[in-house]
Amino acid sequence: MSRRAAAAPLLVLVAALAYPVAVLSGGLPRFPTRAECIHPAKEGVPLEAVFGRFDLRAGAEARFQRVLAAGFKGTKIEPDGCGRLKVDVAGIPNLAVGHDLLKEAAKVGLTATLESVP
Amino acid sequence: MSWRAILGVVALNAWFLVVGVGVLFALRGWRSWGELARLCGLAYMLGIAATAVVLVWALVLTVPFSVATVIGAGALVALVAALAGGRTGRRLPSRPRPRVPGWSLVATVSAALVVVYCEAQFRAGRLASLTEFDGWFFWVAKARAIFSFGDLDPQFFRELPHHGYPPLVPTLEAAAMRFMGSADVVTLHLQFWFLLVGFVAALVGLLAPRVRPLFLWPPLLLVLVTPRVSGYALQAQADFLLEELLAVAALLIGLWLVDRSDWQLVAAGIVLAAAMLSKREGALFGACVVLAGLGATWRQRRTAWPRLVGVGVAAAAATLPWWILLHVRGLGAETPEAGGIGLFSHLDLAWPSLKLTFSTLFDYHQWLLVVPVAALAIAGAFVAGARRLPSYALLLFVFGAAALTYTTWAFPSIPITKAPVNPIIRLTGWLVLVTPAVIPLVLNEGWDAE
Repeated sequence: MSRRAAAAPLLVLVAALAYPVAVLSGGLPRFPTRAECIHPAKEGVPLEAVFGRFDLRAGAEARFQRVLAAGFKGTKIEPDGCGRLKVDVAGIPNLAVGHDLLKEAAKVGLTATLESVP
Repeated sequence: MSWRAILGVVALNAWFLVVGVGVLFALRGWRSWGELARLCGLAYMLGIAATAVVLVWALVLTVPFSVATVIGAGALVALVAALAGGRTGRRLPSRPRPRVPGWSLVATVSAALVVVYCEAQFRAGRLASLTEFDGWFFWVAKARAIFSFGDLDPQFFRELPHHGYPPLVPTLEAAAMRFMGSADVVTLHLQFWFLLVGFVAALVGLLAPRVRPLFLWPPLLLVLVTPRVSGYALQAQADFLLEELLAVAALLIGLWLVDRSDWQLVAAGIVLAAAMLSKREGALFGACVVLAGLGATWRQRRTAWPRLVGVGVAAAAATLPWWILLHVRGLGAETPEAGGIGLFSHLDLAWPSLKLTFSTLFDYHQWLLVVPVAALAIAGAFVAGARRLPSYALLLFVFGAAALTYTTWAFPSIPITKAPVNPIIRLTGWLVLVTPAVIPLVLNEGWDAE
């Protein structure tokens, strides 16, 4: 194999390696997680109480019925943006009301988290 | 979005490549291992086309859809191919001997640019969100249904929009989901990255030994950097897969016009079958490819036409199980609103539809100068004295433009606009992707004729 013949594929190989090396010099690839669809509650933004996230519709439906039966009107099943379904009550005006709602839920055996609506 | 999902897509596409190598062995074999490496892109496109068509048949026959089904369908294709290859007495070449072909400066620099382009596309596709309307509206919804239910669930497919669209793309997407282990609609875009890379590799592999590097690489690079290709090629819908398959089929028939090797027609038939099962327009555009071949072989029609018509008929026949299933389920095929003689009731739409086709094909903001370059290349080759391939390319563009006009004209309810409500921009992509497949052959023939 002549030196010139080897130089061409070598040049392509160098270009092929240069791009990923340049990108990876800033760190390994990041894989966003489903946790990034959970936004911590903070004052001054719309809030919602989330009664659970589910991979399957059946699980979400069962929780939805339970939350509704406990008297939490306005409960909905919605996609959470990360491929799962969340059972939530939206329209919570501030943190104080939100914490009261969580206490009410705990009294009937339901666990919920307070989150900001993205 | 994980390493596991990425590895799943890699494994699936490696399997398609293995199957395609089997098909390539049956069709033509290879004289050296270097030749096989050069034709890996074509092998991949053949593997994905053949396996996906068999998977669609399996779904129609209610075979439960799983990883085993995908592997089984590929194994079936590879087994039939190996038996066919064995019967024709094909043998593998002896041990590989390292040999690097001479690369010109144009080829070297262009190949480096294409590799970096593909890497950048991979990076964009890895975290691409499913925002394309048709993608989430029904293509991926169908894929998720196949992934979840393991079949073409009668109720779901009846109630979903566009139930009459052929199911090859959702089947392919569902296969990717199975291999990823979840309905990961983000990593799913990498499946379309593999298709783009396979398409580019197929073109380069088939054309590199036959045409001058200056005729091969610049048209390819021009198409890759068009805003439409660079921005939308990895969308999780059927348009680009359809166009890539059509372009490979058009190239194979173009090569057949020169070589008259029957394997090229069989390969074109396999790829066209997959195209026709990808989108409704696949049959229309596939017919354009066959018709262009018929027109270019007018003088040899007695020998050439039966073969070319056979390709078209065989490809169309591969879609029959799907249409039969629609009929059995009492579902319409979603034919054009004003198809057939209905066009004459809307003659007023003919001219605006034609104008829309041409303004889109020549739209710099979508396709840069691809179509003007193709037109100049065809004209230049004619002037230089070439006839066969320029005629073929010209007919491809004429029939293609007519078919694109029909897609607007035959749907009076769709506004005549380039807005997304009319798919004309997406559809014109097929002639754009045909350009780097056929125009290098045209230029080369023109150069040699002078």
